[in-house]
Amino acid sequence: MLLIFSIILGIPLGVGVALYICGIMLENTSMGNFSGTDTTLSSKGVVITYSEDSVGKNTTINYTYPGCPFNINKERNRK
Amino acid sequence: MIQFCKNCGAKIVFDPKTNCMYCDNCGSFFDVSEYQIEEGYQEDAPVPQSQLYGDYANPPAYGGGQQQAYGGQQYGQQQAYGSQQYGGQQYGQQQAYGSQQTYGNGQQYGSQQTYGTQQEYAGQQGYTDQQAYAPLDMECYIYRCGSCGAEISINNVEASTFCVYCGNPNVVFSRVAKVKRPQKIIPFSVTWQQAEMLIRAKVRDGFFIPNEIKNFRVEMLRGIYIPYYITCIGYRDAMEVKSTVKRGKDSETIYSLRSGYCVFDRMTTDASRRLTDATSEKLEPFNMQELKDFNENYLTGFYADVSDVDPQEACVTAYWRARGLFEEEILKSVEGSSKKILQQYPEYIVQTEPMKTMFPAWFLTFRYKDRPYTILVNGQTGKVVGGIPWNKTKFITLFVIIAVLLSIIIIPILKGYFILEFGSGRRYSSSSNDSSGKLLVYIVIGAGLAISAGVTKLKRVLKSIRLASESSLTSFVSKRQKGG
Repeated sequence: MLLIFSIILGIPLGVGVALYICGIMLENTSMGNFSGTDTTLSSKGVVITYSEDSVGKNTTINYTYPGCPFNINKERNRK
Repeated sequence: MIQFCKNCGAKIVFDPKTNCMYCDNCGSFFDVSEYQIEEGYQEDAPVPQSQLYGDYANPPAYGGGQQQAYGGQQYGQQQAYGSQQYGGQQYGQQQAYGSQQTYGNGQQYGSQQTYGTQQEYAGQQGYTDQQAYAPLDMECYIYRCGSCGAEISINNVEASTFCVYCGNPNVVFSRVAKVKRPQKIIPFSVTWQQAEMLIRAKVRDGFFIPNEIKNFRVEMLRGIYIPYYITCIGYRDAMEVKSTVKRGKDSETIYSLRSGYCVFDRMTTDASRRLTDATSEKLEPFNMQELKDFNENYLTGFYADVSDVDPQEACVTAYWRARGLFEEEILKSVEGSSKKILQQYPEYIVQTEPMKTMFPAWFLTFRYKDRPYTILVNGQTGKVVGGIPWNKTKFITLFVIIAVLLSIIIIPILKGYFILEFGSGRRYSSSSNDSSGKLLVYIVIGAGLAISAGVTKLKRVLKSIRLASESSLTSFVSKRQKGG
């Protein structure tokens, strides 16, 4: 009984670890991903102008962007 | 374009190692600037530099009366707006991008695809005084592959006997074409020998890579200048994000608000349909500090891909890339896991017309089991990218061996543990019962997690291989072969 239990647990453990090891070895076959960040393509990166956590669902979103160096449409009618 | 040695008259090429023009016949080196553009291309009068756009190194500030908005669209609400009458395109409705729109000094841009006179166009793009004398077009000798239809420009090198995209030996001279000159270029820094060494080092490490590929023919390596656009795009977004956080033993769903902006002043997108955006992104990043004014002499000795993406399309690609990068950064700032954007209001503006440039890359094309594969090397940084085939039989064999060996080791250990903890006749206290029970639960969970982690890892790697593989690069190839 204990042997059966050991086999039931041992095989998934062995298979899972083997899959992980082989996956790591296979990763060498896949070469390259974009290794940059937002600052690679931008001088200053992403600037967060408003941040609030744990709000209620569907809370009104803040559309102001203080310090944003560009305007798009000041008369734009937002929901 | 062919350039000849001033000493012996043989053909000369650009040498990435020394950054000079080099004559293989007599060993002479010449500065790139020593070989000027032919006199016949000279403009008659100097062209003033644009007040509106400036040059790449000092982009004008956003906002204000003189700023020309290239677009200004809100995705999702399908409202078209913009501070100038350019763009106003609504996604999904496939409207013409800027038909009869004007920008700059009243030059018509859009459906008629005219930039005014050559002199005015050069001025608006912010060419330096030297470039103002340069022609707007340049002559290229275009070679076409009879198998996949790919076209490439060959500059002072022997015409390749095989296609750099599909590997088929079916390349013929097509025509002499006038193509728009790029404004900037990053010359090759990585030499042919260095590219070969970098690729050999990379494939040597791949355990599952077939031996035939590890012994690739180095003469299949080709240096190609890939056309790119550099777009200056302002992006801003306000979003609501849902995530799950752990509070002790329980987990809680929270909602977060984020607003922000980003000015991507050097957003790069490739200008060739033959190279997928995913592949060209993998080649990046390029060091923009090494951008130089375009000079056709840099092309000598290398191939150049023909640009077939227009600036409007480049702006759309730049928008999606900007959006993806922005969302990635915003989500990092949100606590928790299983993050999902519930609502967002993206806006973008493109300051100037995308700048056309050329970036260097080494292409190694080979065929394996009748399918073409390409490995690319960033010609400036030496980064190696590309998906190459892997030996599935070897993978399965190794997996089975490791799984069996690990199971053989783990099972007796677990059996011994169970006998110790749960063997018959042994008395236990209630506390040891609890700890043994917990340990057993952990083992069960561990077994499940091991399987899950292994499967997840393998899926991610296989997806990465698939995305980087030449199935995407050669989708163009097979479409052409099927007549699509």
